[in-house]
Amino acid sequence: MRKEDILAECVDGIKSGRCILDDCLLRYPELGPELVPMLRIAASIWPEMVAPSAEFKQRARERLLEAMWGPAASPEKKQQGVDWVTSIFTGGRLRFVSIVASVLLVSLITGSATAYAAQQSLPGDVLYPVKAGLEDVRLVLALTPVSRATLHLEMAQRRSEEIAAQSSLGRSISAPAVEEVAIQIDAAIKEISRVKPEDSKALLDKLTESTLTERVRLSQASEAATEAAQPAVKQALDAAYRGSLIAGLAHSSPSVLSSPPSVSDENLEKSHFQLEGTLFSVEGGVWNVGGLLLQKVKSTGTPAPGSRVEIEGLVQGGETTVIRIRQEAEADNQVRIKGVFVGANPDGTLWYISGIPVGIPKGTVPPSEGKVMELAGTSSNGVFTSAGSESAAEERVDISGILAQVSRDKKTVAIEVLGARIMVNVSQAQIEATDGRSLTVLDLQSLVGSDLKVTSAQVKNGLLYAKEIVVKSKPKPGPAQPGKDKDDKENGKDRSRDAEKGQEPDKNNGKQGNGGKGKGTTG
Amino acid sequence: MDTQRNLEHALVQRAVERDKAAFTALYDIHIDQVYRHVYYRVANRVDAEDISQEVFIRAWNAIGRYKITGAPFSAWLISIAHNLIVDHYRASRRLVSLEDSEASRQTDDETNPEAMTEASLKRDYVRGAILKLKGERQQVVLMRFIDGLSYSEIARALKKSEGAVRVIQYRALNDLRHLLVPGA
Repeated sequence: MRKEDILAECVDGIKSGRCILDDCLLRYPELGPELVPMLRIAASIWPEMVAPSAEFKQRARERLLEAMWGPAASPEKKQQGVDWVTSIFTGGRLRFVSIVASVLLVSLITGSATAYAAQQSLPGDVLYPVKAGLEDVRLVLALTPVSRATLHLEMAQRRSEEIAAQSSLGRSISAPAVEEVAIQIDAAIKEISRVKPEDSKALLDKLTESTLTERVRLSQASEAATEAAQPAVKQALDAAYRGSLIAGLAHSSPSVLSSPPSVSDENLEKSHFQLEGTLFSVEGGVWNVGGLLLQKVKSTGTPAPGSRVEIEGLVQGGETTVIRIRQEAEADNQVRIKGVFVGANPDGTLWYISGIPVGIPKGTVPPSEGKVMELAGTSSNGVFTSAGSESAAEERVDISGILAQVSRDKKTVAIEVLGARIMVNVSQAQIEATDGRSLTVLDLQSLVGSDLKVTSAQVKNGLLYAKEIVVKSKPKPGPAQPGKDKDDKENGKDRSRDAEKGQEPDKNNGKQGNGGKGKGTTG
Repeated sequence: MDTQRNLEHALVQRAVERDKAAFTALYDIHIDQVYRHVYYRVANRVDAEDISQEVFIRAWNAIGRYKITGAPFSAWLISIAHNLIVDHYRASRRLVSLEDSEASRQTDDETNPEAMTEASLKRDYVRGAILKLKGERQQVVLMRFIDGLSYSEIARALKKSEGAVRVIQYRALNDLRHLLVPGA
């Protein structure tokens, strides 16, 4: 192995908390003198624990929208303008009435400062009813299923934007506001089901696009949301997720729209799967992918047997609808399936993952029902062999170290473990002192430099999310020492200067931390 | 398999076709990362905000020319940020003053060899050394450690093999060793 690769392996191990410097030295003792200083340097490089302020992000966003739309008009005005024109030209018999009403509406929207200000309002604001009223008027004026579906999708987007904005402002999110996301997406699906099949494809594309954007926006909002707001954001996120599943389903199997599915149907997730493997055979509607059988497959295209495929789909009533399929030229024997565990046969050798039967070695402990899981394995001669439910259980780790820093937004702390810093999200953590006192994240600021233990931290998207934290308080300060007051004052001055520059004070300069000397363990 | 990656890919495809909603969603996804990168290099909130805002406006103006290559979209945004930061330093001549201040700090620490190992690990001190690295070595260190990109993502962004990226990382860390621990 090249020394460059060894260094990379050690850097990654230390950074992720999987190993410590000593582990690398034990493994590669001959490279110690060369590696140690480089690994210590690598371990000391971390991004600043800073985040742009919500005010700046909003300001920059508005500036960007202005740059995209041009300074003459706000995005809302532009969007409304487009829809107004659309409604005129799709108005059919009532076109003349529509034109008159639309002119009145546009003059109301663009000519009134109140109406314009209302567009920026959020639920609970004085002007919000004006915004809702204007939307109702537009809906009344939308005369075709196409324009109504488009309008419902736009309204769903606005509701999710409002939830994101309320969440970032720390406001409470009312249940009706959340339900509106699902109501508007369902209303759009209902309108799409009334459209001629040749017109529905473009609307389903819009549904996909719209729900994708909502999911991204709400995912971001979820990270910033308070604990109280989390369920509301999650509910809206689920509705958007199911909306995108329905769009994919209807694309491949338009007949589902004859009885339009609802985003309130939780069973949609349970039937959703992703599968990677080699397509061995296609016979009578049965596809063998990596040794796993998909029954009564409905797909807009069929790849050539022998190719490696990535499939996303739904299994409902014994039928498999392929939502997306990607074909790769090179086949290999690796198989991966992700879905929801919905049950097993009596002896536990056959698991049903989103309705797909998967052979499992006897004695493997099944996960709890309804859990999203990922199984990896290999295939040979069309038969699947499981390598175990590698991510059936959430990966959790315990970490002990020194509390090195608390981020400005009070959501993340840095823990120093043998010179390496590990970032841990503490926004959902239960924190207490060794004597059982309950602590808050704010309390942690004054405990920088203390020993700390994080238990059951969950690894998610490469970040650690703490569940429980126990902090060993620092010893109480002894009698005043000569010159100490002066030092404290100077440190205080430095901190305020750092704050002015928007920087975190360098804790290593103070006496609280113990630099890279602290001992700690990961496990 | 990676939902987040698929989501972003779909948004980038739409944004290339000048879909404003998709590009706004990309802004929401990447603004924090871009800001952190810029802040690390300019160490000043006001400048970091100005540059981060400008990154997205430039990106929107150039999005039609963006080629989907498999490299992360953030790598492209960061390359725009890099150009803006270089322009910023050129315009304000702050690069010179920053190097001067780093050099003076290094001299101070060299007078106390005992404290040097600890001092060399200080964040600001390390940052100063990283900003002295040349070309791809600086890029790889920033992408790997500050932006959190994987080796394969860096490889795609720089159009190199993963092995070559590891070699560059090794050389960069070796350079940092010489910069931070004189005589090493």
